Amino acid sequence: MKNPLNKRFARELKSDAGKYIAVFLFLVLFIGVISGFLVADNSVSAAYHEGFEKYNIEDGHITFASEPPEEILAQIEKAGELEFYNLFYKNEALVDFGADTVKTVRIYSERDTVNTICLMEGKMPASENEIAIDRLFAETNKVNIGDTLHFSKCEYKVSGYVALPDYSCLYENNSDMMFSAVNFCVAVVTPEGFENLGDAHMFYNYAWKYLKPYADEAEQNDRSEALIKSLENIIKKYDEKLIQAQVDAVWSDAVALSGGLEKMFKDAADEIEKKVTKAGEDAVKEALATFSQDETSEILLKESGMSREQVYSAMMEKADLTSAQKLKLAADSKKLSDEELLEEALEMTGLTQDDLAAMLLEITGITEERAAEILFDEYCKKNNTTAQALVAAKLGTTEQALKDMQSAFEDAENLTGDLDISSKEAPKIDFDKLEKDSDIESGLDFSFDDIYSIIDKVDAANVYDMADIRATLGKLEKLMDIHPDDSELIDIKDYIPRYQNMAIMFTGNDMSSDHATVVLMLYIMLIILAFVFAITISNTISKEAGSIGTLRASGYGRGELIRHYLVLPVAVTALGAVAGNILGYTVFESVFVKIYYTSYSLVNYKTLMNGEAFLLTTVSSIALMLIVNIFVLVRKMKVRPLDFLRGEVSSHKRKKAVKLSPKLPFLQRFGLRIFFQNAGSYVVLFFGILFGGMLAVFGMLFGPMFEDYSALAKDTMICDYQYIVKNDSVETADKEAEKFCLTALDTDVKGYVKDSVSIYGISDNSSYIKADIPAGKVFVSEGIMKKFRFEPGDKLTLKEPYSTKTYTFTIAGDYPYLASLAVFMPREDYLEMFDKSDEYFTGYFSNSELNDINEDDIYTTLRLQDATKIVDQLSSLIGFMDIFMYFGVVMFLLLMFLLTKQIIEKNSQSIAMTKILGFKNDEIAKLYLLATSAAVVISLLLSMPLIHLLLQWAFRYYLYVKMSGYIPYIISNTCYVKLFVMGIASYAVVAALMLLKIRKVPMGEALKNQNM
Amino acid sequence: MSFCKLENIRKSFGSGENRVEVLKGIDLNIEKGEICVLLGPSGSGKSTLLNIIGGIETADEGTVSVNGEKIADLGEKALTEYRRHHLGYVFQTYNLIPNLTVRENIEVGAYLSKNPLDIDELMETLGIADQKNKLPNQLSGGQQQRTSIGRAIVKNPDILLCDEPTGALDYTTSKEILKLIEDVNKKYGNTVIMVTHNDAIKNMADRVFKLRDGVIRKSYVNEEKIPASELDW
Repeated sequence: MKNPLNKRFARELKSDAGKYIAVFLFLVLFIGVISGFLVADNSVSAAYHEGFEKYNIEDGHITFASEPPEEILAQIEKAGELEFYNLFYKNEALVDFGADTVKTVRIYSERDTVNTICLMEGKMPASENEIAIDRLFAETNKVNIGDTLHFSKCEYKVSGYVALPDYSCLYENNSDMMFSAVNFCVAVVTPEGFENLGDAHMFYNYAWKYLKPYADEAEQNDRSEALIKSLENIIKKYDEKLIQAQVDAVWSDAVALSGGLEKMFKDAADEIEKKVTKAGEDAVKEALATFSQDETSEILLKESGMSREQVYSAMMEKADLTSAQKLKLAADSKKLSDEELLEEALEMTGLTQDDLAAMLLEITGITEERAAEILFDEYCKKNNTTAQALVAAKLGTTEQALKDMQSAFEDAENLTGDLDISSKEAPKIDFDKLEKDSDIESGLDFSFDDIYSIIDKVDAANVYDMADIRATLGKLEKLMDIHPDDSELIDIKDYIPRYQNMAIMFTGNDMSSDHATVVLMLYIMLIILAFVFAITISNTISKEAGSIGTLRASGYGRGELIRHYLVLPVAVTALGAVAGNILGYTVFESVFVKIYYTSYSLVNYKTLMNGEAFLLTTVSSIALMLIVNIFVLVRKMKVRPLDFLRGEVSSHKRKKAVKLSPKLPFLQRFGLRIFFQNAGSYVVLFFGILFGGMLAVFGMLFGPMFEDYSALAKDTMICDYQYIVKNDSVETADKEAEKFCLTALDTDVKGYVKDSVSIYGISDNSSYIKADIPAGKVFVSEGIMKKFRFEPGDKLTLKEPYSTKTYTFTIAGDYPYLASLAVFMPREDYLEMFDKSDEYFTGYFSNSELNDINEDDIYTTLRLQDATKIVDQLSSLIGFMDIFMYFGVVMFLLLMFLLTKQIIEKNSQSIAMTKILGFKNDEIAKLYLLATSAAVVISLLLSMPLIHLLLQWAFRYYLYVKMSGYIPYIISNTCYVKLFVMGIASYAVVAALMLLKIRKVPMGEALKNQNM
Repeated sequence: MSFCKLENIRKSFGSGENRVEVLKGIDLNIEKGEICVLLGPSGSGKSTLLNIIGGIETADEGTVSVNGEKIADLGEKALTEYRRHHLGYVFQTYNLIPNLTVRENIEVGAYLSKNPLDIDELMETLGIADQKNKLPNQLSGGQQQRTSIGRAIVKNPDILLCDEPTGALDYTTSKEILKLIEDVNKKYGNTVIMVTHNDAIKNMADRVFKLRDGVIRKSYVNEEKIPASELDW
């Protein structure tokens, strides 16, 4: 005989149709969505994973700024045991969307070996003016097949839509915070079409495939690590050779210059010496000419110590006069003056004045040079001057300048020979050392400053024109300040092994994390539902305690009754799950596939049956429902049959009443009693509201968050245009433009994904960065501070991309800049840290467009709207986030409905009694809904800070860790207001339904036998 | 005119072949302040009759007038007002609100009245003052019924309707409860209409109606009324 209790099932379903229909519909919808998601995820994921082989996806790629020599490629291929495939591309700006909208199209030529193309619609380009573009970009930007796309140099007609398997996720740069199908596109043209674009924006990209496939991810990682080391060595050797050749060439020029310079110096010294000598002679000559014969004689006599008479007598002897001449002179000496007498004597003897002078020197024993010296000294004494001053005056300079010059020349004698470096060898380049201190030591034996000091002194003396020497020295000095031209070095723009390539891997990773999130949601939802069931079952058991007691007393086993009470919740769950699965496969699968295809640029897929979806949604749901309910039922059924008969079904027998002050108004006390009576239900309600609220806020927060971020990012932009130019010779006449230095380094913080950080070198008194950055320290953007939880004074260590070189910065504070992760440092510090010359710069800040810079000289331009590019993309994705909000509301409605309903049912007899007593329906509603209303409001209010904290926690420890870049955690208050309004509105609907239910409670209910 | 007057009250349940006529034309009059007992075996229709007087059941035919007002003419709201201001109900199963204390259960009644009796004094009268902070499931049957009477009487109703008030109680407790009803009647002057199948209880009534199969078989004014404490069965 069949268990007669089974007949209750249909009646129970009928009598409690509201509850079962609500739960059933919720399960159908919820499991439908989950199952639809899991099937879609599985099918799309399978297509994605099969694509690796089907489209021969690269194992990685390297992008160079210029085309590397064949030999280098061959060396890398050999070292890495791989083969390169040329996948050059050009990044071109699309001009169809207006000047303010920056949309970049990465254009490739044909791809027939690796990363082959999946044509989604239309046809591949056949002529040079046709282009096949990414399907997702086309759909997002409403570009149709047949439309014409315009670039600065070319235009192409769209021939079809494609999916490139190495861009399933449209990341423009691997370090971008977010992919962007709004502003970034990949496309394919014919080789002729590719050629027509010119080379201005060319990237020399090589995809590689390993010759021997790797076994697992660990090996992939090891091989990539080994490859980057080999790559480093190969390129280092090449670059070292290149730099050495440059240094050698510089040295050879320097040798030629230094030889000439030495000669120039010698010539200068000789010339100057001559000039000084001649000036001295002239000065002496001029000085001597100022003395008369007598004065000269007087001076010389004084110097010789002889008397006038002695000299006269000796002169007379020398003059060899006859006796008559002697007598004549003696007679005349009494009447003639000395001059007249001398004149007469000279006439007699035929001697000249010079003969007399020579005679005087001979008689006194003074040499001619000595006489000149004596006379010159006498001259100087007489005129209170010096010989040096007289020479300087002759040279047209000052005595001091002449002295300085002479002293400098004495010093210069020590340098003789050093200036000529022909015997020395050119310095040898050591790349490792060069990377560390970045100076190439010239090995010269002299100091340029010393030489310049000599030149300056000569120039000051104005004796010799040193301009040629100075110019030559300048040339030599410039040559010796060896800064190799690194433009010819092999510059790696990008190195990404496949497993690190966001454009390839993000889709797969996101699918798995979506999968995990959805399964977690399923379990949370099921557990909450299971508890709702458990509460209602527990309520039913209390209501039917007498019957249960009788049945137990009549010999029904505990197990039989447990099974009985399990049937309906499990059956409803099973039916809901099956119906949900059907709905999942038929309706929701395509919805989620559409969501995937509007987020990712995926290749074609086929719907696959998914056993896991069935297992998770159906088997797991039933199992979870069974476990929770069995747990509750076993506890409830432990009560003795007699206790059931007495209505004592609670495990806490004869529980004392919580004392409430009689001063409290009656309605409040009544409400509190209801609250205590249903505390368990309210706990479940609270968790339901918390979870539902979290879903709802999660569904709502991104719109306002992106708006806020977008506004903040724009507000904190440094300027309207940041031009990055190709070299530091690019100039602009715009006076408002300000030069800055910029480079990019990578973060290397444990546990976080790698981030790219822009390092800015900012000029003193910058008009664009209004911050007084202390020397030796840096300001970091708010993103760095918040994401990595730094404090002022902390050290930030960043790594050079594709190298092991690191840089450490001391954080002085944060700077309000939100467009990217950035470090701001004084320009001087930047030049020193990155070994750049004083003239070095990377680009210009400007608030207006710089029209005088040639487009080919611009590497890239960051405009105001670029700051919010990521927001554009994110905003395009959040449409489907509404689904979370709807689920939150449905969850609110369901839980509020089920729990309020069971509270009303539990108290139906009391409600009937209050009606009999004369309470009005609205008064009864007040009595019985007040507590639930309060519970809803309290739960909503309590859940808000908790949701805030939970989401903050999720941002800080999950999103910030797993996602590159930074979006500030700003949940708009409107989200919480909306949540509150949604919660209250949901409850208002439920309360209205419950009011109807209260009205329908028959007074006869009070006349039924009551189990208490 | 009688305080409570019923004329030709008819009531059936079910339909078609299953239709059962529970009351088959009842006429009765009750005077103000009387204790009236409706006596009859199970299925005689006495509880249905009580519920019709209490306005929680409607008659198919006939009129009910209380203090001159016809209940059958009242809408749901007016009926609620009628119960609120004129009636007190006591059931065999007490029907206390399980999550309210003794005092609070009585307050449920007091809340409805503009001039309720003093609750503490009433609890003293009822002998449950010591139990005032206990929940119903902590009380004995007698204590629960006292509370139930307290809840009914606190608003000082014109009519106290008692449906088998001693049906679930033992002999001693039953007598205590009956005495309490008698005391309340004396003290507050309410009209008491009591349904019972216990023949002995008729002896404490002023007026007795005997019902069987939906018909009043006998009605009389009890000239030899004895106090409830002297009842015996």
